[in-house]
Amino acid sequence: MDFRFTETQRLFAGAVGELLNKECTPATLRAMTEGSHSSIQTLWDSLSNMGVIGMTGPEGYGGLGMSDLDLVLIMEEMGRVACPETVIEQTCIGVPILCNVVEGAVDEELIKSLVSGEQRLSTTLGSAYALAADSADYLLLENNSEIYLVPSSEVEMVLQESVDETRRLFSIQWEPTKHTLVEADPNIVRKSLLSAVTATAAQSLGVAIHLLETTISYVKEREQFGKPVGANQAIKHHLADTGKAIEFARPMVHRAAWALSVSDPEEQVAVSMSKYLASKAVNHACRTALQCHGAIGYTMEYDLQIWLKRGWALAATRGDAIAHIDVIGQNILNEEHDLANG
Amino acid sequence: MDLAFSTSEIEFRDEIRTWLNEHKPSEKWLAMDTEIGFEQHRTWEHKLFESKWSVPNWPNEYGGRDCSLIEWLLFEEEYYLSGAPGRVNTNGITLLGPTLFEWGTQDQKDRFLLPMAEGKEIWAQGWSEPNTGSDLASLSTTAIKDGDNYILNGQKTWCSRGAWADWIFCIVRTDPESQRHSGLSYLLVPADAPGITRRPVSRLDGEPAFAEIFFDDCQVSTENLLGGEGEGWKVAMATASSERGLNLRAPGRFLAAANQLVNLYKRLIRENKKIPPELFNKIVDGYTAAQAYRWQVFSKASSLMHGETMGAEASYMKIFWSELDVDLHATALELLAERGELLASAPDAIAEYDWMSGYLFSLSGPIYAGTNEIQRNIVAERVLGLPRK
Repeated sequence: MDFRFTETQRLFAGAVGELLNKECTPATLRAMTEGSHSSIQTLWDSLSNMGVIGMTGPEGYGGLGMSDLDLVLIMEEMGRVACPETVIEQTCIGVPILCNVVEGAVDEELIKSLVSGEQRLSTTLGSAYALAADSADYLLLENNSEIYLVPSSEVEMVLQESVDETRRLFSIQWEPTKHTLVEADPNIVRKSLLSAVTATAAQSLGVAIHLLETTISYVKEREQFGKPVGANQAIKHHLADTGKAIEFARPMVHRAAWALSVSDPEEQVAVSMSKYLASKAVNHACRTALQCHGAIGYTMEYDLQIWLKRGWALAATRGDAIAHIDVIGQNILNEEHDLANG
Repeated sequence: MDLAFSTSEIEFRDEIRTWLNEHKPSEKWLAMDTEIGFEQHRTWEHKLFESKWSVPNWPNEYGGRDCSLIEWLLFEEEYYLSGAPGRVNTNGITLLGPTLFEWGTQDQKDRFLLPMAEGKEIWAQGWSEPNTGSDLASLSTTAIKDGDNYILNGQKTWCSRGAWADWIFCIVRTDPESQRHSGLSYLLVPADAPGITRRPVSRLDGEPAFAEIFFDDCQVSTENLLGGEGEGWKVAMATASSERGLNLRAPGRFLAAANQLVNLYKRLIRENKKIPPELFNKIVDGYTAAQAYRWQVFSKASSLMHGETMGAEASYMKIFWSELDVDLHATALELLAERGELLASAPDAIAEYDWMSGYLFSLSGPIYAGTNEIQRNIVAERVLGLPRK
């Protein structure tokens, strides 16, 4: 039993974090939404150049052959800066599925260009809407349990306005055709969706950590009645509870990533527990952050709103807390035998 | 990262599982906090000791097995899942024990640790006073040096196991002119010393689990000072972090309670009871929270085993386990509906587990070892860095 990440895992996540700090800022996010874009193309290119986009692909396709465990700290970093890119769609879902299709079912050069990040993909697998579909070259879609890789020019996409302007969602209308069908391995599809849930949980944690840190800084500076508002017990207890929610969700998210990386028999429950706890933690962080900021947090001008909205969105997507309660419950409560209990 | 248990960890777990199955008493004993039940539980401590299971994480020379922190957590899980009797010397082995290892002289370790491990000497904690609860530094029991002795005067209260314990670890004011944190000392007091009067106090469940302890010119040898004179606060903080963190509350107890709750649900389903979805959700929430506690503790244990230390974040754990315990029991009482208020002795009660008594006990968790309000202040000020004033 060893809960530590390797030095390589920490260093890689640290390097990605530094890149994100430079290229994914409130200013670049605001510029993106002002131009009605779904992506910061320069950021996407930098992540591609670092190998992040294709990191789950095998080396033969130009990937890094890495696992969910290698990815999880990077996903936290992405949440921390509210990264808008379709990394979950491409790195957790598209690349693993397409790198494992029956040989020849998909053009190898196309797969390589998706691993390198040169071409982009979004998907509705495991979610109702396709994120940033207007930036995608391809869409990975499902119909009657079959998976299709469809050029985005062949679908009709409709923007679904949503609360988080940095997460542009599209509903997709399309017709399945023989030439877009890919023979995907059902087990890889299942695992890739669990991987996407875990990555969403990790991003949620990153958002929650950012909200907690930002709010701590704010309540230390903001003074009322001649003292920092953070000196009041009511504020302290709100923030302690947010810290607690993060403290007890984070090891579960790391455990889910580990379980996926070794195909542990408990992987599905581990993943649902991680998203359940992370959704609750980020919702708690949003509520606390807004309340402790007061009116300034309730404005578009102040950057807090970027993370509040991302937090609400991530808490709900790929299964909200209640949806995952159901998965856990089906696994635990519906087993015939009793549990050991003393 | 490798969250699978190693072969030796699994062997260790299997060994304690087998031992408990073979040795745990089959008859139901009286409650630990009754005079007879106390002695029954003392014999159990001795039985554990004889097989080196009373303090498996201690060094061999003091009756332990030198097991790793992870192995100790597995021991605790197996212990609670087996339904073995409660540990009457928890105050000694999980609170004073670690403090003695950190602060005790060689003579003190040799004198106190082995009888503690054997169950020969059961310990109570003498910290709170009638006017001193959360604000421990306000305590006023004095211990004035007189030659080779201290002369104690004052009163301690809410001393768990205090009515029948053999020894009491106290914090006292050795400098009567001192204020607050300075001038305090940590003193080990034999419960049969002349000048001590003990009065049992019944807890919410009716068991005399508390005691008030009065000191009237009670003489205690200066050899029983743990740490230096005036260092009592520093020594007490070592005990307090044990009390709040993983020393006192390994996840085993909560995992067992969560499993009980799941089994209660299954039983009611078998009895064709309708369970509303809100209750289903609460059960799953409680089960998940118990797992979250388990894995957070493994993660902390892993970093402690690799040289990191734990400070104020132990308060996160105290808040979490104590509120989890209340939630698990409250959910079970909701599931039981009208049977919820029955005690285990009632003919209609579900026999496997006494949920109401468990609920009453769980309600002490957010109060003792520093109330959860104090713990939230500690987290906010020392982990998150918010201003004290």
